[in-house]
This record gives sequence, structure tokens and C-alpha cells, in this order.
Amino acid sequence: MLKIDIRNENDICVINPGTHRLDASTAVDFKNALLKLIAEDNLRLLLNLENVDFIDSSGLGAIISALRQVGVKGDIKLCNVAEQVEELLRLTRLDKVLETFPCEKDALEGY
Amino acid sequence: MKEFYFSEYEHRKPYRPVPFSEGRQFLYQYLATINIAMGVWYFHWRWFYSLNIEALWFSIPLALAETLAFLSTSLFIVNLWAHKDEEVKPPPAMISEIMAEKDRPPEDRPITIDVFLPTYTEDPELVRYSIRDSKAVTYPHPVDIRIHVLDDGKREEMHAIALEEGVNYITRTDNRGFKAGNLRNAMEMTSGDIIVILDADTRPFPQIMERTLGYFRDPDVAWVQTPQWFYDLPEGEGLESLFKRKLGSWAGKIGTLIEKTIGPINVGKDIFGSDPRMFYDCILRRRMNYNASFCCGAGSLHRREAVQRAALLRYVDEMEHHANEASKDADDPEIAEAIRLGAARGFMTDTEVTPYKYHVSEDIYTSMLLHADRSRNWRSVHHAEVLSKMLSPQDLEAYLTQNFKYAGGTLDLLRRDNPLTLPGLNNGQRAMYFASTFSYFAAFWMIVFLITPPIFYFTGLVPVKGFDLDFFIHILSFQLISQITFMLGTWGVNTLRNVQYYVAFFPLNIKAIWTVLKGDTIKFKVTPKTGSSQVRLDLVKPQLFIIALNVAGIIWYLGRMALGYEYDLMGFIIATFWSCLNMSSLMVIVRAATWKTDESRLL
Repeated sequence: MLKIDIRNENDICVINPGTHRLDASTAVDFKNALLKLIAEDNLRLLLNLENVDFIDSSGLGAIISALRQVGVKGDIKLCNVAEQVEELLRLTRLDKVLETFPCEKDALEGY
Repeated sequence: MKEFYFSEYEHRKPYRPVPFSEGRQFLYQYLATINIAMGVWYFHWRWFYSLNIEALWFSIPLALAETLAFLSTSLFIVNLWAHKDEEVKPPPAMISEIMAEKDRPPEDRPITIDVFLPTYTEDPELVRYSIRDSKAVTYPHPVDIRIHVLDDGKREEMHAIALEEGVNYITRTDNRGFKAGNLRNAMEMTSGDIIVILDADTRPFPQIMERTLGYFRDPDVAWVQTPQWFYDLPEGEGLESLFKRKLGSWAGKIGTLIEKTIGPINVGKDIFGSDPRMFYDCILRRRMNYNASFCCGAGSLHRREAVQRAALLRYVDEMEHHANEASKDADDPEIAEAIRLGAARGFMTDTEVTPYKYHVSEDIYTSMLLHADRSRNWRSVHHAEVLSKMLSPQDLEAYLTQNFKYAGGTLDLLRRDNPLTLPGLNNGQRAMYFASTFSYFAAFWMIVFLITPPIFYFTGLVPVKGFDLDFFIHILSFQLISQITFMLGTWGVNTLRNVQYYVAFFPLNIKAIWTVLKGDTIKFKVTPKTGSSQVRLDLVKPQLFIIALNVAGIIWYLGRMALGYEYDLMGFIIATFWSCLNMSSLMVIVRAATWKTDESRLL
């Protein structure tokens, strides 16, 4: 099981996935955790990826599924994104719908 | 195990892929080059010297039809140009062996494999055969193979069989997205590195993984497709026994005599022309030469990462289409951008990420997107050896439905992303994806070919200037070289049924083109494999009409000759030759429509 860290900062739900790799083996748990938060009406999510150094397409798919659930009323943003993740976002052209910030402070201010 | 009609075919062994021969390939390439060169020579003559100036309305469409057919043939020649079978590699054991160094997890582990058996209404006892054969799959290393029955029918009996057989049973509360949704649901609940896609009636051979997993040692290999082989095709009846049964023992002897003279004849063999061997063993196999073999659903193995990547690519692609559509009328760039973002988010709220739909009609599109993925250098492998067996459609309607889906799905490529302009594809891939769509337009030139003889019978007009020596030199030499090239290109594979159905399918393809042009979605009825035993001439009305037109024309012309009107004997001979050739192709589908499927085959 993932040890996901969840905090609330200024009405924004800050999530730190407790894994270095968001891949097929962790994506299902991570997605379920996000969907649970969204079901509890947390619609503004910030994923702090400072500990994550690898995301594959399954991991990214989990985030997209969550984004679908928050709908147009909420949003999911990312911060502290590793180079590999940033590249994946750019290559899949999902950077257009998933905004990233260099650090949590910037993200909370710019949300 | 419950017995089915196919139980008597258990002994049947699949065909072996045509062995590669360098000499034959060289000869083919040599003749193909001459064929193309002669095509240029022929069409130069055809357009500049052979048109009948007095009947241009007749001669131009025919010349145009011939030219388009030649363009299609040229693409086919390019398709068959060379073999480039991938060498089978030793089966991997650990995840590190199939991943690029930078993507490997810090701790190595054995590879995990998910086998998906989607089912909905199929007899659970039939699915049991597929489960048993999946369980009998062997592998030389201790990898983790998990078999999942994905039951959209939510049937207790299916659940019980899965438990009995000791495999995982997955079901869901709704049936959203039908089979594709069923597979997506399973994909979200599993995490295997490799996914094996089977149909409910697909029965893998024990060596399926051992022979194919090695390809994934190349981290760029996205999927491996193996040929779909129908092991239950009607074998047909020898002429001797057919004549004897229908006409008596004296006729049987005539049958024997004929077969002794020209070789064995099997009437009704693969009556629906559903044997896909030419497609797999010639067309798809040689697309390896361009890294352009596409995924066709059942009998394929996938790298999960590639499936998910394809799903994301397709999703983003559709999202961008949607956003572009929504913002195309906005003049102000800022407003346009705002609309785009809103439309994109709206799309995301309404749409789920969908991976392959695991059906040829849809997967050709996903395959193309993956081949065009500029962020990765994805490769696809077509493994030529048959590694599973499945059941064929049991009647003409089932077969037509299946082919209508293929046609519609393939034509849909043009509407979504034109392979000729989609960035990221290499030239060979462009040509091959274009060839797939273009071949369905054959319906248009086929109609011209089919009605040319009747036009001659009823009007007395000929589409060429005259039947002189020049005419025969051009047409005979060009036809001859084309036939020999085709024969060499498809060496070892019986293509008769393919050619016949290529002619006879024109109404179906026109319907598919029309549906796609109108912007309607091709309705994907589940391909009925259950079959019916009724005569269905209503399915082949256009073909019957063309046959009637040809027969009426011949009678009409003979009548004119008998009554002493002026006639063109050479024209008549040539026209009847084409009429007979065309009618023999059309008769196959008419025969298929009157084919009484054996009751025992109705599942």
C-alpha cells in the first residue's frame, strides 16, 4: 500500500504520493486515493511530486482519470516535477491541461 | 468437456508460414519493377492512343478505373516488396530484460503477464476451452502468468467455471464501452507488464509466449501480433462425392475423371472467403519491412506501457480535435485559446481514456498513432507463425458484418488523421496506412469494370478505339505480367477467394465509404459468430442485379446476331470473357448467401 501524505493548505488539497515510482504497480492505488478525495468534495488538488522520480503512462493515466472526475469545477496541478516527468508531459502534450509549478509555494500562490 | 461442432477439428494443424526464398524475392522484385514500368507504358497508350473518341463518356471512366486500379496494385507491390521477418529471441525472465535502462525499477523482479479473455454471451463451456488452453501455456522461466476471464455477461455459470479452473474472474456493474470497456476495466484492475489479448473463442497454443516474448527485449517493441487462424473452416466436398450424392454413381465417375485431369476440387471450401491467411501471411507480414504492421486484436501481446501510451496519445489527439473544432470560429487569438482550454477540459470530463479497442477496425488507428509517436521510436512485430486458433463467422451476414466493420474502421482513418500528412510516420508507414484505406475505394473502379460488358451489349459501343494488334499487344502483355507478379508476390498462399471477394464486396465497401463520408459512426454490432441456416439472397441484391444485367446483355446481343443485325464479333468475345470472369466472382458470394450452415455449427 502507498503511504500517501495529504494536507490541506488554503482550501487546496496537497498530496504527496508516498512512492518514488508512479507506474503500473502503484497507479491503481494512487488513482483510488485521488478518486476518494474527489468524492469527498476536494476539487482543488495539488500533487507535490518532490519524491517521485519516475512516472510512466499508467501513472499519468491515473492522474488524467482523476482530472476527469474533478470536472470543470475543480483542477489538478503539479509541483516539484522531475525532469523525466516534465518530459513525459510535454511529449504526450498533456502539459497543456496539467499546469506545473517549480515549488509548492509558487503553486499555492498561483493556484 | 462439453462437445461442440469444432471438437471434430481438434486434429487440424495450422498452415506454416511461407518460407522465405531469396531467389523468389529477387524474381518478384524484378518482375514487379517491369510491371510498374509496363504500367506506365500501358497507361500512356491507354490515355493517348486507345480512347474511343466517339464514346468518351464510356471510354474515359473505364480508363480512369483502370488507372486507379493500377495505383492500388502499385501500392500492393510496394507492400509485398520484401520480407523482413524479425528473428525470434530467447524468452526473457526478468523485467530488466525488457525495459530500457533508464526506466528500470531499482529492484529487479520476474516479468508479470496478464492474459485477458473477454466474454459476454458466449457459452461458458466454450470459454472453458480457451481457459484450459491458456493454462496449458508453457514458459521456460518462473514468470507470473495471470489468466483473467472478463465476463460482461455477469453470469454465475461463467464465474463458477473460472473458479473451477482456478483463474481470476472479473466483472463490472455496467457494460459501458462493450468489449473495449470490458478490457479497459480489466486493465485498470491489473498491473502485468505484458498483456495477452484473446477472444472468448481464441485458444492459444502452449508455445505462444515462449515464441513471442523475446521480441520485447527491444524496449521499443510495443506489440506483437500473431495470425488469426480459423480452424473450423468448411473443408468443402470433393467433386466425386458431390456428383455422386447429387446425381448418382455414374456422375461420381465423371467427377473422378475431372479431378484426375485438373487436380482435386473442393466445392464449398471456405465458402465465405473468411480465411485470413493472405492478409496475415502476405500483407501484414511484409509490412514489417516498413515497421507498419498494425494490431488486429485477438492473438496479440502488448507492452502495457505502450498500450497506456497509445491510450494517452489517442486521448490527447481526440481532445485537440475537439478543442480545434470548438475554437475554429473565434477570431481573437486570446478568446480562441480560452475556448480551446474550456473545450479540452469539457472533453476530459466527458471522455474516458480508452486504450486499444482490440478490434482490427479500430486498432489500425491506434496503431498508426503509436507508430507516429515522435517521443518514442515504437516498433511493432508481426510474428508469422500461427500460435492460436479460433472460430470463423458461421454465415454470410456474420461475415459481411465483420467486413463492414473492417472497411468502416479503416476508412475512418482518413477522416481522423490522414496518414499521408500525419507527422511522425516514415514514408513506408504512410504508404501502407494509405494503401489500407485506398484499397476499399476499389468498389468504385470495380463497378465500372462490372458494367462495362453490359454497356457494350446494349449500346454496341466499345470503350477502346478498336481491337487491332496494338490493342492485344498492350492488354495481353500488361495483364500477363501483372498476374505473374501477383502470383510470385503471394507465392504459396491460395488467393482465389480473396480475389473473388475483392470483386464481390463492392456494395459493402460503397456502403462503408458512404457511412464514413456522411460522418455517421459505423455501428459495431457484436460480430455474430453463431450463424443462421437460412437462405439470405436479400444480402446480395446488387451482385444478383449485376449478374442478371450481364446475362440479359449476352442474350440480347446473341439475339441481335441471330436476327442479322450488324455485330462486332471480337467485341462480343472479349466482353463475354470479362462477363464470365466477373460473374464467377459474384457467384461465390451468391452461393455463400444460399449456403445452409450445418445446424450443429449453430452455437
